[in-house]
Amino acid sequence: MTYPHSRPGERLLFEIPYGTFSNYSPRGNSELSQKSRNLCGNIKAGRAVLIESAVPLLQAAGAAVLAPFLDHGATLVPVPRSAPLTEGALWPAELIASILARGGLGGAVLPCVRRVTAVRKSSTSPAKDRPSVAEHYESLAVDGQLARPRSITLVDDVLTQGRTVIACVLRLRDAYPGVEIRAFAMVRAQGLVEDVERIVDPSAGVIKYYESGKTFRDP
Amino acid sequence: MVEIIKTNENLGPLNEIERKHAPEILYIDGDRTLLSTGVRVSVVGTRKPSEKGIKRTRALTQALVRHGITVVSGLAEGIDTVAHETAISVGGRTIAVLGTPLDKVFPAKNRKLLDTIKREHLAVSQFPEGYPYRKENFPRRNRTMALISDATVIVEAGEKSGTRHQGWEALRLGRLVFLMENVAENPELTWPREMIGYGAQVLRREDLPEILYDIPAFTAGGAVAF
Repeated sequence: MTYPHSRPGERLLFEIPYGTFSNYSPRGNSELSQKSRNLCGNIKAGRAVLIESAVPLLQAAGAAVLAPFLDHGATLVPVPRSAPLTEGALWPAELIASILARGGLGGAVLPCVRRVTAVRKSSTSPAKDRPSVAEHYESLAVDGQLARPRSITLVDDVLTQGRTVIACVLRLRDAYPGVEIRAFAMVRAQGLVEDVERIVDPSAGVIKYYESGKTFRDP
Repeated sequence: MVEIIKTNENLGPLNEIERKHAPEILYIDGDRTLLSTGVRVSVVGTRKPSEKGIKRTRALTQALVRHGITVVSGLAEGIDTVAHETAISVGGRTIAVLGTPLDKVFPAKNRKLLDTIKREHLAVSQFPEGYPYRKENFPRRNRTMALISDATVIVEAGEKSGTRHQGWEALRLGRLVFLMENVAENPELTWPREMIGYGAQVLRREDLPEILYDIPAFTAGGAVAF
């Protein structure tokens, strides 16, 4: 599959495939958009029962587009939160990865990328203050010398622009050069159209990373 | 009239991390729908606020109410009282989470305020009638406030302030924690820097409208399956 370059004149450094299970509207007013926000909030709150309800749907034929992201050979690496975790704190991405693995989706869970210093939370920062890929990269570290994974799927709760994911890719490439890396998120933030038409909507695309430091999620 | 509700059924299903400090049951008096609908934000701080702290609390509470957000606080003297009173005066909704049983009020001068909250809003306590007064009831209450709130805003607080307990618990639960700029940048305080290092966000007045729009509905009820 090919995607058009979405930032003419900017040099594309690389792109990584992403897959998402569902869709949410950050600001739409329809009843369905409101429901999508409630589901998204509950995933971010780490409600295992809700995440577990997605497993049979992910295993079903309708989610075939996500199969490459969750095959048995893919090591699942949870994306860190925006700050180091306090003791015993919730880590939604790690919970999601564990539930997927228990459901036979993906390979082993390897929580090897961690946040060393806090960055501002993208979800509650004005656009001008959202951390750049470079800031994310500086705030992350990869732990340990582990056996080289066959492929890696980064797992996150919500995918917006993909800056954190790209910074994780850069760190993992430092640690495991040449390993194929993809990203999977339970939810993607709806783009230009405000209201969602359906919530469960398995989709795949790419996150592009440009020399300027910008990212673009397509679609 | 006092009702007894099971936390897991009314706020949950709670996850493992929430269950660690969540009371099994809550005693409530008032409009119970406030626990299951809309976004809830705790506004907390010192019992002895400055004039500026009072003004900030009013401005923040008014902004929350304009966004349809329910204001949660602890009925204590100072910032808590200002938050409840402001929410009521501008037609908003408020929840008081008590560090005492529902039939007691601390401070006693908030008796009328508590009566209004029970009648028109919601009062919540994890302590049964007759439960003895203990100092540790208040940090426990603060953890419950963190549990029922999607975000916590610390408006003004000292170095030993009890609101720190709520901030840390909210971070542990993965909820949002905001420190008003004056708290975050107060050179006399050591804990804000530490809390920011673990994910608390600095809240600047100019960022307020945009941030309020994007508070996730962590505690929205009814989302149990796709």
